[in-house]
Amino acid sequence: MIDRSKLVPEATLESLGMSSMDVVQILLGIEDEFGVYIPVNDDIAASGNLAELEAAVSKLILQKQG
Amino acid sequence: MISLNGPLAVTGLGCVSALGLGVPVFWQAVRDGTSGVRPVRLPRDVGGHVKLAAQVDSDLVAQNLPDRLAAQCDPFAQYAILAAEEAIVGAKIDRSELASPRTAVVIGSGIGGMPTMDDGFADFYSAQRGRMNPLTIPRIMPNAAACAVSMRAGARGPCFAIATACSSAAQSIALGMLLIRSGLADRALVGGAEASVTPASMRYWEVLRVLTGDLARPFSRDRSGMVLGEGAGVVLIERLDLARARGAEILALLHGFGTSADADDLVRPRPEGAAEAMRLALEDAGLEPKAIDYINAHGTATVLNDTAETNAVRLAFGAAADRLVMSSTKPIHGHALGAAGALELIATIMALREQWAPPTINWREADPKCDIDCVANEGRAMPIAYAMSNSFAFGGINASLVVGPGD
Repeated sequence: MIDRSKLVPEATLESLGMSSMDVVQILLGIEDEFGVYIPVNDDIAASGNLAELEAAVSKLILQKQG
Repeated sequence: MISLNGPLAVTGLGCVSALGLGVPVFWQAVRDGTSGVRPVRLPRDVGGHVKLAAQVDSDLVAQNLPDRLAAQCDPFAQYAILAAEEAIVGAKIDRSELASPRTAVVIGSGIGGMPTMDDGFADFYSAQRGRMNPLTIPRIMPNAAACAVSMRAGARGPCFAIATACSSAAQSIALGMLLIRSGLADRALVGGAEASVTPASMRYWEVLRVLTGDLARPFSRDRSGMVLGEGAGVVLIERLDLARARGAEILALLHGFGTSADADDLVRPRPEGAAEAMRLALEDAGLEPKAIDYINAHGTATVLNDTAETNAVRLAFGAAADRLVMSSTKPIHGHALGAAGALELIATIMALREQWAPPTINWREADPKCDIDCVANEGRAMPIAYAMSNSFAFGGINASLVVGPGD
């Protein structure tokens, strides 16, 4: 488990000790929550920190919710 | 005659794909950029978001097989049987010559009999469990396709299935080359088979986040993943002097292969590993990088693959990368996983024979990270002296094959 206090916008995946498969698990959780499919596009792949990942995912959710 | 390098004759080609039965319909679609990707037909609805794939018409396949074989074999083996039959008939090889301990069979598969597993589990864990198929195990085993091809052909030499995910077919072709070069066989039926469009399999791929919810758009900046395919590709390769002696038409020469392991991440490709496979294939073929005019890319349309593959080609080819073209035909026939390397070698051989670079369809936007000419959307006539086909797999397994003109 990751200490919640470390989940700040500028935290990088590396600083949280997360692997590519951890990100896949997170995307699956978001999919279950929002009912949208989130393929790995350029924005998501290029996300360096939590703020960028959140922005990339939000963009897809908003697009799909039309 | 043992010769640890030197070209082998390709004398027969056969395939089953979403485009239909046989190489002619496959090549016509690949050449013209007509996609076989459609809404899937599945026996059970299990939710999920991705509903498109390049699915083989399994009824059409079963209709073209004797009833006994259709009942006995999983679809992946059925596809291999039909593909091998086409390759054998096309090669005009005497059946008695083929039915020999000097004929090897190497047919790879990423998984094996996935439809049998999926249907069997669905039934087994349901409340209304039916009578189990007593052939469940021999249908599922990953070497079922290789064995079925060997039995049909009477090929009594070495018989293998290679299971290296999406490099299975390319490595099977490479192993066939090795068996002939080492003197263990005179000829080999080699390739791969996969039946991956099943309800659970679609969902397994989806949760891995490598499937697109859109279309596959290799090398396009807005790409977001691959589209699943399935089928089989089988080629007959022969020792060159023996193929010439029997007066065979030599469709192409298989000049070399290279294979390497990233020894790094399970799913994230490492460009240096792929570049090493390409370099080794060139070395085995005795060719300089500038000899290659066309590459049929692994080109899955995932963000990671296409960037890594472009970097790998630049590492392996240096300045010569600027003069070659590299297209992905996967948006047309789907990513056929363990069959991909064989279907794509057939596409590469046809490109060479017709001097035509097939298009990368669905392409919309240039990506500076994928800056090699990908023959966007429209195929084109061009001189192709030698061509390469790339396959890269989960587990970090890389394989490249090099072909040149036949007679």
